[in-house]
Amino acid sequence: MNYIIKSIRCRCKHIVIILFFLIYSGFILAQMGVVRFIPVKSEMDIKHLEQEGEDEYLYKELSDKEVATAFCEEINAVIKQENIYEKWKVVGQQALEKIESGSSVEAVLKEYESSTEYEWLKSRYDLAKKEYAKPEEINKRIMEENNNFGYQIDVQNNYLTYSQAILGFLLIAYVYFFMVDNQKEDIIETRKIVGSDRFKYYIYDLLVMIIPIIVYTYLFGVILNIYSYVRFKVDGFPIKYFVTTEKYGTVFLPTIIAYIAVLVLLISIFKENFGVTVPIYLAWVIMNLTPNVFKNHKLLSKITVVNRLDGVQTIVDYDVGRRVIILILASLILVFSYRFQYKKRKKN
Amino acid sequence: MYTLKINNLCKSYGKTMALNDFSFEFENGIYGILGRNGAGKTTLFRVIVGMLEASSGDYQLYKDDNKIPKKEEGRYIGYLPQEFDMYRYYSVQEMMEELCLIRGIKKKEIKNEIKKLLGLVNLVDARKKKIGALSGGMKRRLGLAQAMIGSPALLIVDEPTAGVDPEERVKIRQLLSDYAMNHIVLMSTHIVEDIAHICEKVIIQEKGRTRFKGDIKDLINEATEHLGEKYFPSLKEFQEYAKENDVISFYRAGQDVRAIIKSESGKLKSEIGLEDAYMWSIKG
Repeated sequence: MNYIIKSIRCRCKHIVIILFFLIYSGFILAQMGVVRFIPVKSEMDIKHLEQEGEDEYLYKELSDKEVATAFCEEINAVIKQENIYEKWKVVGQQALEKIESGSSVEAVLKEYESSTEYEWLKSRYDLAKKEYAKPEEINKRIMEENNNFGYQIDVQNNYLTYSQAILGFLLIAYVYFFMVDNQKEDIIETRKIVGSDRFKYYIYDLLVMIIPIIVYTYLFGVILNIYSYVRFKVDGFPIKYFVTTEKYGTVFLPTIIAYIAVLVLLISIFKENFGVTVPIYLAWVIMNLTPNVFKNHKLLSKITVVNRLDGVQTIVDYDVGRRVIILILASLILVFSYRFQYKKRKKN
Repeated sequence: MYTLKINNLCKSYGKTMALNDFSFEFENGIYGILGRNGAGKTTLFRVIVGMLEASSGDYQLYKDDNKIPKKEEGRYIGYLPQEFDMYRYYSVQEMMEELCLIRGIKKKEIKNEIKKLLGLVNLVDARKKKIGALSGGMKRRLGLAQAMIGSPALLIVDEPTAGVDPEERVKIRQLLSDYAMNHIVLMSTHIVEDIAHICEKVIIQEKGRTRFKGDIKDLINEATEHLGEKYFPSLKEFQEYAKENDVISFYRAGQDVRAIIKSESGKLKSEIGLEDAYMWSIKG
């Protein structure tokens, strides 16, 4: 343990590692800026949240009748405009007549589904559904929908998703920094780690690489969580603290270990040939982050290590068993990398 | 009393024998290992240290005739590699601390151990310097300090004085001589003078094979019987001679040039040195 602590202290002072954590923190803060506007206190906060794309809690939950009324008002307002195309006036008028004769908005939209007018009508419909709630209504909804945990669950889901995404790329420099020195023949000879100590120090050196990133990302997540919690608490909401360890351990940790394992394996095989390691690794990371864009994406999603929790990707569901399998596979890759490195060296 | 017994050690890379049937018994003392580049010196060291696997043969370290278990051997061997290096952003102190931990030095003893070793190699004032900022000579001295962590029974030093200034070289020789009083020191170098000054026994390796092993005086005596000398009044005349004949070595002797040459009659007016004997050994 002394070795691990000592080595972490020496290595984490290096500019590469400091920059790595700075860039990571900057990215996360830029992505998680919405936390500052929740709980919502004004119309300005609502506007900020909408601009940031965080609009899940902003709109009133309207009944079908309210939506139909708002839709008709929207269409009426549009067709009264002078500079609108005649075609849209006709379509709008027809839609209004159908609704007045008793059709629902959904039924009207369905009639136009395969025509070019559909998107125009649909956009009016989406606008009609979006009526801003008042700040107090928004906050109440956030509290109720999240079992009095406030915005903390969203904070953690977004934090873990963004962290998995950015670290997929940033880890290249991080792992490379640790690995390449450890693989230099001169340094291996100087350290003179032989016999059974080899595997022990391989594990130690992996821990020297993994522990700082785990500790830093965990604490960063907890700080963001506490910040969100305190904002609600200060505003007098009966908020409960949300413990983040479980999802951190089951979602984030296996992904990061898998990233590191693949990088360690590629660097073990290709050594300083950065030009070979990076494209292969990047292709794998991109496939992990956006499996939907590939053909046969259902198959790809089965071998994806990234678990997005931001609601964008729905193929990969949160499944603890699957996360454990990823962790085991990553560990096996690390053991294989060790055998590859040392068996090769012993023969040379 | 420590003993290192090496029996028929071989290391091959494909069809190339880097080390061919090496056997020797080392006891406390300092041993010089000489040979050209690629003679197998570093391969021998790497096999003993455990960095390379021998193709055949074995070696065993003893303490007072008791075998030291193989899995503990690492703690008994200190090694200064030919190309010593460490993380360049570490300070000297940080590097020594980390290596002390790897070598199993107790935490409370580390500070004193480092102070003692850096004092021996005259690097106490440089302990806060980054490894990347050290001169070649300072790095060699630091390499020697790290090799002596934990006072290993067997100290293997591969070219300890390369790039070191004359004053520090003398100190390193003194240091190794003192250390060899109670330990085994194996030293390889291209600076024959270093071995001539501090070693009693020498091993000469050539293309993986052992050309000579034994006392330096025996090597010199043997060489003396096969060498002669020739004096030339000028360097130019010597150079003309050297173009046509095989010269072992040569020196300036006042205005004359003294050339050591092969001669079965062994007529030498004055003594030869280890370098002459070594050159005879590898050329003969």
